[in-house]
Amino acid sequence: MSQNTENPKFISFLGIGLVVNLLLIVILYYTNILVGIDNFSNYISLPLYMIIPGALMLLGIIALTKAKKIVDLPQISLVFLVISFGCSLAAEQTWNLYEHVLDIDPYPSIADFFYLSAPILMFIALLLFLKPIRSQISKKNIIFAVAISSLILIPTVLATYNVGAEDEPFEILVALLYPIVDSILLVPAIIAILFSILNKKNFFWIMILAGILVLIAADTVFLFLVIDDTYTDGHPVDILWISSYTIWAFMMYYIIYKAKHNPEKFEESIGNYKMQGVERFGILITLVAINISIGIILVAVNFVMDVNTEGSSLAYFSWFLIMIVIIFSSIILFLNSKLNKSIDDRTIKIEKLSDNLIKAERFSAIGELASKLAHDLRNPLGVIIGSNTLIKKNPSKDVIWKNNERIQHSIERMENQIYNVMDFVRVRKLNLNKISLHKLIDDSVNSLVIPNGITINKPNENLKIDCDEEQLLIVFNNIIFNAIQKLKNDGSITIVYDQDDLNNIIKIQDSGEVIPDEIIKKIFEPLFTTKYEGTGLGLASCKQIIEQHGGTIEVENNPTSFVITIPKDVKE
Amino acid sequence: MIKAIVIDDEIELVEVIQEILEMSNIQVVATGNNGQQAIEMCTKHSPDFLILDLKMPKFDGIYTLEKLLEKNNPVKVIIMTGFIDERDRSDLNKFNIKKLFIKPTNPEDIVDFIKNN
Repeated sequence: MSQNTENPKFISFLGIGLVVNLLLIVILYYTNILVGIDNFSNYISLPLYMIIPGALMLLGIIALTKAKKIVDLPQISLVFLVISFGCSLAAEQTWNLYEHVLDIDPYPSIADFFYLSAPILMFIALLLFLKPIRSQISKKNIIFAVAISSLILIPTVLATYNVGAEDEPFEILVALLYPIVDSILLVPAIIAILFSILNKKNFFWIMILAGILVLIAADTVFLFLVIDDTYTDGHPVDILWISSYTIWAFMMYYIIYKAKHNPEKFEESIGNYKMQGVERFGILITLVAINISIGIILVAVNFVMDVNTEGSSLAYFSWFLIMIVIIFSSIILFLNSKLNKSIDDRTIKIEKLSDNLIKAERFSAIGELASKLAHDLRNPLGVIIGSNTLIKKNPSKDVIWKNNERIQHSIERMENQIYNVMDFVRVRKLNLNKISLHKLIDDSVNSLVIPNGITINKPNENLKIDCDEEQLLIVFNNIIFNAIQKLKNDGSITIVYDQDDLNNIIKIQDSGEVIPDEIIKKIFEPLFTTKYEGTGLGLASCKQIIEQHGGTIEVENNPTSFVITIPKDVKE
Repeated sequence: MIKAIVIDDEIELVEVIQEILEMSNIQVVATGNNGQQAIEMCTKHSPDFLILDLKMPKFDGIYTLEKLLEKNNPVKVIIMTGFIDERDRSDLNKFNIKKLFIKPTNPEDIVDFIKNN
């Protein structure tokens, strides 16, 4: 079972399941509207309004019992969410009782009490969810959320303002309470979703908000229907209510799944899910889908059901639609800017961190190099001091000669160490000329002491290449010197020239042992050495020089070869 | 006669120190270039002094000291190293080191120290 990552199959299953469910509901309702289904109210509407809120409540209770396993989901918040679902269930069942059993249509009724309690309890749930992060919520966030939320009231208030007093003011007042309660609910919902995006608590809260938005749309449309007195059972607005219940039910199932399989981190809801597009555009897709569905419902309400012959409600519906579009667009724009800012902040942080890391690495490399150089220079210095002491104590010819040799050798070694470091540290501008490779190899071989047992094979045909002669000599010296040390006094070093369309290729092979893989991996790293006297800078310098030429250097085994490519067209 | 062993990966330095010690009547019973040789020779020859480098291939100075401590070898250790960092210093505190010389060391200072101890 996955411990820290979400199971992509499960998310796909959940998403597909939700979409299929919603589609089925839409198809069912529109079939009834367009074709007409016998006894739709009793055989479809009634069971749907029992099963879906019932399932929501049941899943909610199960989620509640399991949720304590989930580390950072505030449980008290879930308690209120589930009580809110309970109110919805009670409301629907009361309504079912009136509509289908008692065959009465009291309005306002006890059902409305439950209907209105549900969003208030959900409001409390959201406040409790936000409680731990309240210090992070700025005034700007609250003002933004309040402004957006009050926008949904504009068409509602306009609609009720134009309704005459003769149109049962109490009924309209109760219907008006729905959008008002909803708009209050929307405030913490928007704040919650802003933080969900910033803290990667996306998926669950986006879907809860989606449910809330659908609920708000349903309640607002319902108000218009009450004003026009045209609401009937099986009206397309029912789709919206059922949809919100369905969305929440799936989210409760999501919690149950998380509690069982991945309770360590609730926040990483779809963090590692491969379809990053869903994470990035999830909210956009959700909102666009809701927009479209509301558009479809409104068109259906106005044209299919032919509810409005006077035209006034149509105007309010259009107002409502525009408001919804404005709300969604504002949320998207706001989130986008927040998201960009958060990405920018993180980029700056990463850049700072990597800067510090590079500095730290550089200091540590300088420290390592300095200590190594100190060690390597102090040894020959010790020999010089000791040899000098020996000469002083016994200035015989033999002693002077022997110790002079030692001093000479020590000086050469110190020189070599210093040159090695300087070759590596100093990056010089390339001095490019057409150079004979034969001459370069000869110069290199002549500058080194080649033991008698080692033969050096050069290709018959010469090759002239564009390169910095002095720099390339350092490369050949290093590679050939290493090969000599490796072969000790027995073997051969073979040099091969080659060309392809773009590059000159030089291979320096030796007949010695293969180089183990773990050494090959590190062989060009500065300060890496297998020799106790080495600085670990020789091959690092070679790589630096070849790369400065725009070429590459690699090591191969069987036979051990250093393969150097230098572009035919070297740029200074 | 005082017996000593010289261990350093720098062969010429070992030779020079050996010659100077011997000129000063200190018998160099063995020399070597790594920690493994140091442990073997100390066990075999039971010298009075071990002149030991820290940074060496195969077994380094600290490893050598640990092994000698395990074997309760009573040899007096003189460390002679080209570079010492804080970690080495704290490691060295665990052992009974008679003297620490930082290279380049004048071999006569080593002779003086051995003669006075």
